[in-house]
Amino acid sequence: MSVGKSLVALMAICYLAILIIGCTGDQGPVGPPGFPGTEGPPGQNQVVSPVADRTFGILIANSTASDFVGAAKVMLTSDISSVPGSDRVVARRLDKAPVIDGIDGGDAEWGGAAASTITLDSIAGKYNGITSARMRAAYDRQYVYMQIKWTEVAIESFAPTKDINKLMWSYDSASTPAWVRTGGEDMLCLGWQLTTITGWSADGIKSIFDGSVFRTPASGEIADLWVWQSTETYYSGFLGDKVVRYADAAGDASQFDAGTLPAFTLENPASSSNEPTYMRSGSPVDGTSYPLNSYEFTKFDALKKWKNHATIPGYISFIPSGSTADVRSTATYDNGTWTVELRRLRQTGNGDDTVL
Amino acid sequence: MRKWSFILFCLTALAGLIVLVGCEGDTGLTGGKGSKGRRGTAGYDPDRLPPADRVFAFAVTNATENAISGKRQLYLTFDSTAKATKDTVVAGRISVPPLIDGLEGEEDWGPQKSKMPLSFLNPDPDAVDCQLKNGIVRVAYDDDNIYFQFQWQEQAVEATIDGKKVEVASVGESRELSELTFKYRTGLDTTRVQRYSCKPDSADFVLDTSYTFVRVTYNSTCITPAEPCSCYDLRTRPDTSYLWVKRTGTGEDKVVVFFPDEGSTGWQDVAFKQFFGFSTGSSNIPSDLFVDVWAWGAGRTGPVSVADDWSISAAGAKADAGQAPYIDNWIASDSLPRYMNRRDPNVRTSESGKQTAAIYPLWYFDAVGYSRSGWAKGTNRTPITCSLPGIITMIPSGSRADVYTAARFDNGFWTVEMKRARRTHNGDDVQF
Repeated sequence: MSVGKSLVALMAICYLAILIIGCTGDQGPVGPPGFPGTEGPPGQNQVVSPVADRTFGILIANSTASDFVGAAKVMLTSDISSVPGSDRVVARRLDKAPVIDGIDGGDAEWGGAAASTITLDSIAGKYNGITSARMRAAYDRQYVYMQIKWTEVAIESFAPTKDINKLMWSYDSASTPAWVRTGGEDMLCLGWQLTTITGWSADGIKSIFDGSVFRTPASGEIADLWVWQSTETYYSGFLGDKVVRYADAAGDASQFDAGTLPAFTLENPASSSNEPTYMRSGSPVDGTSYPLNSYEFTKFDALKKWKNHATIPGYISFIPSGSTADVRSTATYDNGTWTVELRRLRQTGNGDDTVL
Repeated sequence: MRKWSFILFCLTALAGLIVLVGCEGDTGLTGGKGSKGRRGTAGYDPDRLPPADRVFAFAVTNATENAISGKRQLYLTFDSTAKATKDTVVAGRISVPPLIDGLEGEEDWGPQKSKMPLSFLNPDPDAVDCQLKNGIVRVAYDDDNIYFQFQWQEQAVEATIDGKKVEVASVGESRELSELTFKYRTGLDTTRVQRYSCKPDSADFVLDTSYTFVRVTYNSTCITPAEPCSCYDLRTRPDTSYLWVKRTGTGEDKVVVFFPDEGSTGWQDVAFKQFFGFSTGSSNIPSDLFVDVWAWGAGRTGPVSVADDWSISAAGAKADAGQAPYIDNWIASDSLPRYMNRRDPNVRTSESGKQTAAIYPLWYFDAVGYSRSGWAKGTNRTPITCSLPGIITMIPSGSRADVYTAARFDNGFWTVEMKRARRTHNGDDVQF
C-alpha cells in the first residue's frame, strides 16, 4: 500500500471518527428570566345591588276579613329616574336604616324616598271606602324597608277605629249568654310571585286571591304573602310571612312559612258553656286587655265573680319564629290613619321567600 | 499520486467543512419565569373600613338607680398608632373575636387598655357617691362586630345622713332588683291609712310605705281629684289585698354606655337626666339630639345576656323596637305584684331555712298570676316577711336585643363584656 493510500485511509477513518463523535458542541447557557407580568385588573368595588324590578299586590281591610280594597299589581323599582305613581313605588338606597317604629319620620328618616300614592279599588266584598295608600320603600345592602299608610273612612258599616281587640270576650250578667265576643281587625296583605304565576301579569294579586281565600291557579306555582293584622300579628313585632300554593279543592291554600306553631295566636274559643276557654292567670275580676301572652294564660275560672263589662282577649299571643318571623313590623294608629313599617332581609335564605 | 493527493485534499476539506458546520451544540435551557406582575388596586368596600372615631360616655352604679359614677366623655379612636390614656380608648383590630364571657381571659383584645378614675356624675344635691373606682375600658373590632370590655371596682361606703352613719354602698353583685316584701300585722292603727288613695295620678295620692300590711281597693273611674273618687280602707273586708312594698336598697349594679350621634355637643347632661331621671339640670332637649344607649343591669338584663338597647332623642328616652328583657312585677295603683313563682307562696320568707331561697331570676315561664292565698303570717309578736321578685325575666328580641353581653363579678371587680354588630340596620342605633 502506498503512502498516499495509507493517508487517504487514515483520513477516511478520521473523517468517520469526526462524523461519529466529534461534531456535538456544548449546550448553550440558560436564557435570561422573562419580563414581569402585566398588572392585574383593579378589584371590584363593593356596591349595593339595586332591588330588581318586581311587581306585587296590596290588599287592605277595615275590621273585616272579607271586604278588601287593593291594587292588584304595583311595580317596585329602584330606578330613581322613575316617577312614583299610583302603580309604581320607587325604592331608595339608604345609608342609614329607618327606625321601624310605625312613626313616620318623613324624608329625614327615609332618605328622600318619595312616597307613592297607590290608588285602591274594591277587590272583594263590600267597599270599605279606603281610596288610597301611601307607600315608601328603601333598601341597603341587606334589608328592604317599607312604610304603608292608609286612612280609614266612615262609610256604611265601616268606621275608622283602631281594631286591636279582635273577638274580645266581654261579660254582661244581664244577657244570655253572659259572655259574648265582639270586634274585628284591620288587615294589610302584600303578595309577591315566587314562581311565575298564571295570570299574574294581567291580574296581579287577584290571580291568587278569589275574594275570600288565597291559592295559586296551577300546580307548582307559589306566591309569597305578607299579612299584617291589627290584632293577631300586631302585638308580636312581626307580620305573618306566608306561602301560597296551589290547591285543587276550594279553600285557603296559604300557610305560615316554616316556624313554630301556633305562629302568632291561639284562639280562645267558646267552651261548651259559652264562656271563654282561657283567661290570664290571676286575672282580676274586671278582666284583662290585649295582649294575653302565651306564658300567662290558664284555664277559665267560671267560679270567679266577674264584674260586668269584664273583658278577656279572644286570642292568645305568641312570638313567631323561623321563616314565619322574617318580616319585622311595627304599626301605629293615629286619628284614623294606620302607619305600618316593616323590614325584611333582601335574601332570607328561605326558599319560601321572595328575593328582593 | 496526484489522484491520491486530490482525494486526500477532498477528504481533508470535507472533514474541515464538517468541523466548521456540523458541530453546533444544543440550544440552552429556557430562562426562568418572569416575576409576577403587580397586584391590581384593591376594590373598595365601605363596610370593611375601620369605623370612624367618635366619643362616648359610660356610667356605673352600685345597687342604686341613679347614683352614677363614670366618665362623661371618652374619645374612641380606631387609629392603632394612638396611645391609650384615661381619656382616649384605642380600639384594636383583631382577627379572632374575643370570648364574650365576662372573664379577663387570654383572648386578644388588642394591645391597649385605658385605665381611668371614675367621677361621680349625679348632680342632684341629695345623691350619695358610691365611690366606684378603677375603671378600665378596652375596645376591639373586626369586619362585622365591635367589642367592649368595662371593668370597675366596688367598695363599701358609709355616709352620715341625718346624724347617723349608714352604709350607702356595699360590695356585691346586686342581682336582686326591687325585691317585693310584705309582712302581716294585725291591729294596725286605722287612722294612719286614711290618705292612702286610689290612683297614682290623683292629687291626693300618697304612697305611704310606712305600713307593711294594708288593705286597699282601687276605683278605676277616679282620674282627677275633681271627679268622684272612692277610696276605701277595707281592712275589715276579707277579699281585699295585701300591700307589697319594695325593699329598700334592692337596686342593681349596672353599666350604661352612651354613644351620641356625630356632631352632638353638650349631650351628656341631657342624656343622663333623661335616662336616669335626675331632678336637676335643664329639661330642654336639643331637637337634633340622638344618643344610643346600652344599659346592662345585673338584675334586669344579666340573666338573658344582653344590654337593653335604648335611644335618647328630642322625644326623650325610648326603648328600641322589640321585646323587653324584663317586665316590672308591681302595680303602683294597688301595690300588688302581678306574678309570683309557680312554687309560691312562701318560696322565700324570713323563716329559718327560707331566707336565702333563690327567687331571682323569675322567668316568664315560671311565673303565674299572683294569688293572695297562703302567704305565711307568723304571729303578731314574730311576723314573717315574705318576698317576691320585683321583675319578671323575659326573652328580649328585635333591636332591643342588639347588644350581646356577659358579665362576671369577682373579688369586688365587675367585668362586663359587650358585642354588637357594627351595622345593625336599625335606625335607632349608631353604626360603627
